[in-house]
Amino acid sequence: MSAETRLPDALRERVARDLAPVRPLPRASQRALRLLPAVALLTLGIPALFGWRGDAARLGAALVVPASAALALMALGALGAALVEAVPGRALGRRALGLVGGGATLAFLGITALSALVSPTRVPPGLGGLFWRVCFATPVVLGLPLLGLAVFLAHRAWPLRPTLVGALCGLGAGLAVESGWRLFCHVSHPAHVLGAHGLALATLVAVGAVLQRTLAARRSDSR
Amino acid sequence: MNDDLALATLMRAYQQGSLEAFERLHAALAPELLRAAAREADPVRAPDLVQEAFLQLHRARHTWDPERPLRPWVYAILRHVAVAARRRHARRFAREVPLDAGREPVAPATVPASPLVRGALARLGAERGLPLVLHHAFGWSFREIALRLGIAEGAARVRAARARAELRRQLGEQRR
Repeated sequence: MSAETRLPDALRERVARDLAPVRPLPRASQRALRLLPAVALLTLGIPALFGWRGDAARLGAALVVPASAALALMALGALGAALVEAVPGRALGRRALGLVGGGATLAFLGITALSALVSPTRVPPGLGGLFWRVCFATPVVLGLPLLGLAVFLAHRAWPLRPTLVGALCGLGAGLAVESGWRLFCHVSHPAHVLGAHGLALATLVAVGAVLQRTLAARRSDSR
Repeated sequence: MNDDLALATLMRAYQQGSLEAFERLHAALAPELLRAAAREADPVRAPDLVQEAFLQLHRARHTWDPERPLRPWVYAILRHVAVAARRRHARRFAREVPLDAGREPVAPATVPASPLVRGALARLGAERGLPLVLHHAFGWSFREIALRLGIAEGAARVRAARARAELRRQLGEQRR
């Protein structure tokens, strides 16, 4: 064994000092399932709390609950992807990331377009500012607890690309909120949905990225 | 040891708190990680990167899935450590003002010392001998040495200490 590959005493002592048995992390899929109740709560709890959109009958069965269920599944997919990516050695490839991001974008845009086509509704005149503020701020606030939980679970896994992991957590939280919020908000005009709801989703993505990166930096600094 | 199953067994024992398993894992993986680190960064910094990787590996040991191969997990950590070190190095040099021209490093063999010492220094080589010479003979701080050589300050101190120990050993043998 050369001097360069010999185990340094300082490293041995450091390891020996903190050698408590550890329980291996459960698989990413198992950990993602822990987020299922939170996602379901957002999908069904938002319309239960705030009321169902007035044009549900005109939208039709497919564009009400099934469309939101599809968004909720996308949300779980993004959260699962985050938890996989968070484990060292399990970095997602470009194809997987493209599927998650592209799939989420297509689903959001597609459901928005179809809803606007089937039941075109607009923001009442003079209330643009209010609708915009409510449909941006409330989803962001509602999404933060799920985002916090997802970021915490991901942090436990030691992400080596924390910005990406946090963004995926934010995407999952944003989609979960949108899956429920669209069951309440009756405005289907794309300018409103893409503007307010879309910006809320983008904000959760950004907050997730910053939060995860901050946690990772703190861990590095505390060495 | 290149048997994945054996490595996985050691890693499981290490996760359960066995220091001996960690030591054997280090012995098994350090040589190949050193070669990989030399490719990722440079041969001079490779030993420091490998030790840093083992430290990160220790902190993240709970994240290894016993049903998955060990090497991808270990190499991912090593690559992360190498990338982070490269970024720190680039940031440090971007912020720092270049040292005066009069503070150019000198070859160990030109150090004003006895022929015995100069010979021993020459045998150490520039990479190992420079931090020792620059600090003790020319009064450079370890921070300046680190900046000049593109290494961490701690690494400069360690190299100087090792070079001093090796120098003592060589000079001690020659005097007998």
